[in-house]
Amino acid sequence: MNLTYFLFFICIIVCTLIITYWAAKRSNTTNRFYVASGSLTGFQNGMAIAGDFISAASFLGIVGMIAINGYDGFLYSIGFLVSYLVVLYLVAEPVHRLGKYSLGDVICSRFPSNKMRWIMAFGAFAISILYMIPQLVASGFLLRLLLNIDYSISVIIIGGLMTIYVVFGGMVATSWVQIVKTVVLMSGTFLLSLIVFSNFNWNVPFLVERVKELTPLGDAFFLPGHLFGNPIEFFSLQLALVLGTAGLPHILMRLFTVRNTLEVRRSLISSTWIIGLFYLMTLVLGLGTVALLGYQTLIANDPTGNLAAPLLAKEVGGDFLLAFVSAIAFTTIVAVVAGLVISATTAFSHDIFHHILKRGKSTEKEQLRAARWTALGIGLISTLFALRLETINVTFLVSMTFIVAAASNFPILVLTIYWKRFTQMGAITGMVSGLVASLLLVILGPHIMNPDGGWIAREAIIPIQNPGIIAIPIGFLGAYLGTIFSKKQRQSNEEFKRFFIQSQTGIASRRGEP
Amino acid sequence: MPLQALVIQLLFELNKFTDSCELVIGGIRVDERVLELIRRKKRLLIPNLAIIFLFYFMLPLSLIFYPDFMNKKSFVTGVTWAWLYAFLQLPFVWFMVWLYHVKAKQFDRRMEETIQEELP
Repeated sequence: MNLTYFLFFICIIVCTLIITYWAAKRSNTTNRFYVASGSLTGFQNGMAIAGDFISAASFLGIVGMIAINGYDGFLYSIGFLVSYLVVLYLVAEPVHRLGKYSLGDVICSRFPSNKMRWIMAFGAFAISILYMIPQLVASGFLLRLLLNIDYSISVIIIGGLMTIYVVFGGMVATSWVQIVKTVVLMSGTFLLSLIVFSNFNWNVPFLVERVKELTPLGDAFFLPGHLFGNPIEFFSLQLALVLGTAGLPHILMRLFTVRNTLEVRRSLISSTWIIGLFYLMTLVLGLGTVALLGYQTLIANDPTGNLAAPLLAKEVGGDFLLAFVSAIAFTTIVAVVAGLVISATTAFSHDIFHHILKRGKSTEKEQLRAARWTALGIGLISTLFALRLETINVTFLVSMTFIVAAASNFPILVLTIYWKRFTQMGAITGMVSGLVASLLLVILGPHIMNPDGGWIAREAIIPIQNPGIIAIPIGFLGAYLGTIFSKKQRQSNEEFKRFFIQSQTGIASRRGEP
Repeated sequence: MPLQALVIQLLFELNKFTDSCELVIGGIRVDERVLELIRRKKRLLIPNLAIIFLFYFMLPLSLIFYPDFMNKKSFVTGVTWAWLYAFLQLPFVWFMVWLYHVKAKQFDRRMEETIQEELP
């Protein structure tokens, strides 16, 4: 590793550790630890949401996908962006008003029971871990490719950092690491986009012509249909992308870190602007990669296309810019995994330890200690898993997370908030059927059952790569059937009305506890 | 669009408050005016959600069913309908977010006024 890389990395590690030190002194209550006591402003939280959301898969993966597949790569990002409208219109404000620290709080404010809390905690925990491990594995490969350091060392560095941020700094440190990441990521991609344009004398038609010359697809590069041949796959993916975000615990948890619903809305306004502009820039970078490097060079370096952005940086700015972009990718990864650690931690220490095991009676000090130990445990275990999974392809789990979230958490949240007749039984059956269906469809699908290098070397039983179109309706159907076949809950009209008015207006929250 | 109308109707039915008994939440009497405000908010929410899903899913659907048309050049030079529609999704998202923000602010202000009148 040469000195430029080393300096960039040390700089990022030191900056984030200073943030953590500063945050650690402030994370002395559970409220601070879990949700930064709602102290973030809307704009800060918007940046943190963007930092939580834009994973390395978005930054590196989408640039590569655009460089290889043209139009279809860009469509991916549209789904991610529009999903924020679903969050804002359907769940954001009610979630903020009903919950304290976790999604379990939100659902249990209508169906207060241990059973419900177990299931919500398990769902949040499973989704966060499923998302975190492939990110860690991918980061190990990425750092190995970029910096030429060993896979295990990369995983240990990233796993160690995320654990330190969360254990010592809780949500305050996590938020600020994510904010710093957004600033670095946005300025880096903006700079790179400007360099790409300047290489073509700011002449976009010229850039487009060069792209057509240098891609094997020719004119067809700008036409749809290279990534998604099968209409069902295509539609299914778009469905999971647009509904998934509204079920991701680590994103929804960020809605608790501001003080009121006005700030919640401001958060989502800022994050949609940041994420939208970011995806526009990835388009420029994707086109720039093809126009400046050519398809063959890209594929020769890495057939998955994930190295498109770093290669582009090296081409236009030499080693220095490559070091900068690698540092951005590194920050991107640690910010996302830190967000996942804290969401898994909350599910365990707040929902399971505090509410179920201690029946809501543990003291502030005990809760804080439990939270820190949980974060340490989760960090260690997921790092160990990531170390063991070096040889196994787990990257598909990233896109699976959206399907699992859209099939389990999303239906339960929407129906709990809006459906009067909904019962606890329905919530449980919905959650379970959504989780089981999506996991089963993945196991029986071509990601795992594949004669050509799959975990199970056989033809897939359900030959669909993106099973969202089956799993999401199953989640809703499970919730519906569970409701109509369960005894009508004693919860009267008036109780639902009370709950609904609270979720829509926050009247009760004005006077302390709901 | 009969399907859309049906969905809207259904969503309305799910949550219609049939009884109008008085509720006291957090020391505040929830009367007809509060309920009317919530109803108005919902009336705004449902068509907007329908528009969002329609606008979003029309993109993949039109690419699946009308690829030839989508690959034709649009009125913007050098840009096909497929690209134009994809690009339009961005300002659409920003517009819808802004719209929600404005409407929610109005709702919050009215709610605050109502509650202030209720307080002793």
